[in-house]
Amino acid sequence: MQRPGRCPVSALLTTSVGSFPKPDYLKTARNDFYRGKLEKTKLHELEKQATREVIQKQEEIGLDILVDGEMYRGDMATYFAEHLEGFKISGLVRSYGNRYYRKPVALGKIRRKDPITVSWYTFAQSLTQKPVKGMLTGPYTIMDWSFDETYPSRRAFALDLAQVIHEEALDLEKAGAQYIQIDEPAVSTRPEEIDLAIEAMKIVTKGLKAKTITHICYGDFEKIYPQMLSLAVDQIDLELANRDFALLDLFKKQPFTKEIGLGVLDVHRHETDSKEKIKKGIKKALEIFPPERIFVDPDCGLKTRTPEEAFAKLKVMVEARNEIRRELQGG
Amino acid sequence: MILTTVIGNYPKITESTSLPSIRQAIHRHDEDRLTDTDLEKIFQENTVRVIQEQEALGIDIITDGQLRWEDIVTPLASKIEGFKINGLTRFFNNNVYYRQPVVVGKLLWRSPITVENYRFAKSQAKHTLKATLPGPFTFAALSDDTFYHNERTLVLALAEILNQEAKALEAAGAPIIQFDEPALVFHKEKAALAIEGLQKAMAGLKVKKGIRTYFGDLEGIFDSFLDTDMDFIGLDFVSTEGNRNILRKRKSISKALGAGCIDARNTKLENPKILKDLIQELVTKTHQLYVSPNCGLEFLPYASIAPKLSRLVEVVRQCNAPVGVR
Repeated sequence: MQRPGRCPVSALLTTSVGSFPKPDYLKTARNDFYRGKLEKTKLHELEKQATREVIQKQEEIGLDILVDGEMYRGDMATYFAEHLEGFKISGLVRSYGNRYYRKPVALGKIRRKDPITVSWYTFAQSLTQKPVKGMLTGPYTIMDWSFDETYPSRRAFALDLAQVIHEEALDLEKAGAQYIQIDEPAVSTRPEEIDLAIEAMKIVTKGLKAKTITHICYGDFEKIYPQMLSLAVDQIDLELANRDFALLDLFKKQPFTKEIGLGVLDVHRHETDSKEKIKKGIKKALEIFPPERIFVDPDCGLKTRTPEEAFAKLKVMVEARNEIRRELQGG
Repeated sequence: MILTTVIGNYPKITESTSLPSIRQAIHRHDEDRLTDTDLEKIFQENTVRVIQEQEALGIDIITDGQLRWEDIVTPLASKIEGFKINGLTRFFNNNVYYRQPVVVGKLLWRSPITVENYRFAKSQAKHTLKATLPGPFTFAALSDDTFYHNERTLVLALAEILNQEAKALEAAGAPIIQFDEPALVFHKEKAALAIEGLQKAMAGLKVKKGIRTYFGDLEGIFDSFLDTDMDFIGLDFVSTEGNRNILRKRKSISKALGAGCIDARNTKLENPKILKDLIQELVTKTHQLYVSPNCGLEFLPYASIAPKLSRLVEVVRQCNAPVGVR
């Protein structure tokens, strides 16, 4: 436990992983658009409206670092593929239960024609004084989640993707992004390929001055730890709540040399997480990390929750963080 | 003669069909807008469609497409006493998730679980219809054990249950019973336990029985499977090079060989020349070769199925043609 007084306001900053649930009117509009019943400009207007609402909601809740909520994205890998040369999009495949998605298919060399996310970043940042994160999907994950009909190897595919994501990151930085997050949820899938993920990330973040973050989830972290600390980012964001913060014990044995994005909300549960459980998790992390190296957030994107569930969860998270700050300041 | 087959599952939905979609039906059933009976009818209609599609494409040994199966374990686990079904977890090294069964009490098999659906599918099939079950080792590996606290005890308990289910399938007329053991390729050090479980699961079966493995290879442990009661061993020749190495080192093997030669995790269509070379190399090693995709077909979008299976059938027909006609 840290000594009282050791908690500046710039410590234990709160944020979220990326996606927010889409409001019903936007879901309907997206369906209508895909059925040819709604024009693209109309859909775009509604996406902007939903983005405004998400930014406003995050400010109300009191989060420190905001996201645009990804109101304009479907799947996190497919969205980028839709905007890159060389990809087409497949028919539906099942992901789990009764959920389906369309996968990218690499048919030719992957190239970026124009910036993909920059105008959304700029729009979201124009709505708030708080920093908004630039949000990208990492090259290893896009590769792993795509079909590939063209590249000779997974490595060749991932490294080409690394180059285009790097170009996008540079443009986000140029547009003013202070935080750039490059999500690599697939990194834990194949421990034997962690070196490829590391090689690709090095390309993505090369020369960036913005704070860089990567989010990893769903896997055996034990098998890629401590190697994953070689990912060329300042912060690694992990899901901890859904494993009852057991991962922190691993970091006691082998020091975690980066900032940690501390997932404290189980995003796959409808119920609001208990404030006590969140506080317990943060306190456990404080045994290992100084407060300024902990960023408090949910385990994963919130898009599978309802808007009400998502906002209720974030509200409790901020309250829990505030109480811990007061305790640390000896209040 | 080389025979063609599939591993198990088939895409549950098409992009366009005159039949009601399973996806929409499940959704409506979840919202209480569709009765159990109506949902069942839609499963049956689509099962008939999937059977007819495989037959029309020329697959010799087919399955019912496992349209009711969300994954290879939960359909059984949800009917076995002692399991509850928990949250999502990743299915091996795929971007596909399943709800993990948790062992919370002594496992007990009450009555046949898959037999009724097998019977229905068989009544609709003109080609040989095989039955597939998870192998006991993979079943255990995909589960979370909070009761036995001993892997061997759990594997053997599952083996006992799978043996009862397999016997019921045999009694229902299944001529081939396949146990899927993908977990083996990730846990080669546990091959002896897997075999002990499989021997128990296959005990007393008179029909053809064997395993399919996928997502990797059995290099280093393959020999121990030759000394078992199984009639066939299935290997994945797409995901890694290891299985091809195994066979290159051997003149022949004493079991029938299931060979996953088509990549069911990528949409790229196989080059017929490369495919033919592989199959012709494999056919010299065994008295019976079953050629198939390397794993279930549900990782692929529906539109890829017909081109992939057609390619498989076309190349196998070339290999089966008498010399001179090739």
